[in-house]
Amino acid sequence: MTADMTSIKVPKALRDELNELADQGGRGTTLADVLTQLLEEHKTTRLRQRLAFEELLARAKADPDAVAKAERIAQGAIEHLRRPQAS
Amino acid sequence: MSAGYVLDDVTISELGRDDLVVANLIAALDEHAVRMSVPALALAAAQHTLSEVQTEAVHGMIHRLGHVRLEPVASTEDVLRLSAVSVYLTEQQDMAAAHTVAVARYLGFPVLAADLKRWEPVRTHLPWPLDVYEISDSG
Repeated sequence: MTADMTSIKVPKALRDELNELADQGGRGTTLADVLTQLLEEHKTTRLRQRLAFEELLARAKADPDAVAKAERIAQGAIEHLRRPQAS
Repeated sequence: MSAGYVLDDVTISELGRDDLVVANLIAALDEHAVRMSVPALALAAAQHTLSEVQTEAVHGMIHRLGHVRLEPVASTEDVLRLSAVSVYLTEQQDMAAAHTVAVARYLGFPVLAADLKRWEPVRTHLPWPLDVYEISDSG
């Protein structure tokens, strides 16, 4: 069974670039294959970014001095927002 | 809490450089539902000081934390707001500061700064007061 197909409007220059990638993919590579691959690469990039931040946050939370200091600063920052002059 | 802060380029840079206090602070503010805006031009300036891996961690923060939002220069209104500030900072050619101030003025948020000195020369050229909260444990 084939998936429902549809068409999307894109600028010709973008279509040509996608076609170029399809050509590089070898015989039988469709534009749908190219878009799928680009989406996978995008998801991988996002995952790598999130993991990089998660690792940094884990190191930060494992440092009790840094946690305590940050919490004091956060309370001060929140208080600052409540003051009338903060705008 | 609906109010928030605008992160400046030095704060973003410090996060990328593994400043554990800044990382915990941003996480704590996010947990307290304090919105944090990241001006695109401040992010671009910060990235000049960071490696690819450090930049990935900063981008991860933007995507991971629910109260952090990237502020683009996407509309003509954004450009007008940026231009209204950058006209005062032409000598410095400091577009990162101009975008940070423009976002702060538009949202009515103070700037969250790792170093107050970064804002001294900017403040002297602006015709309006600029509310800057320094990340400091000295109270």
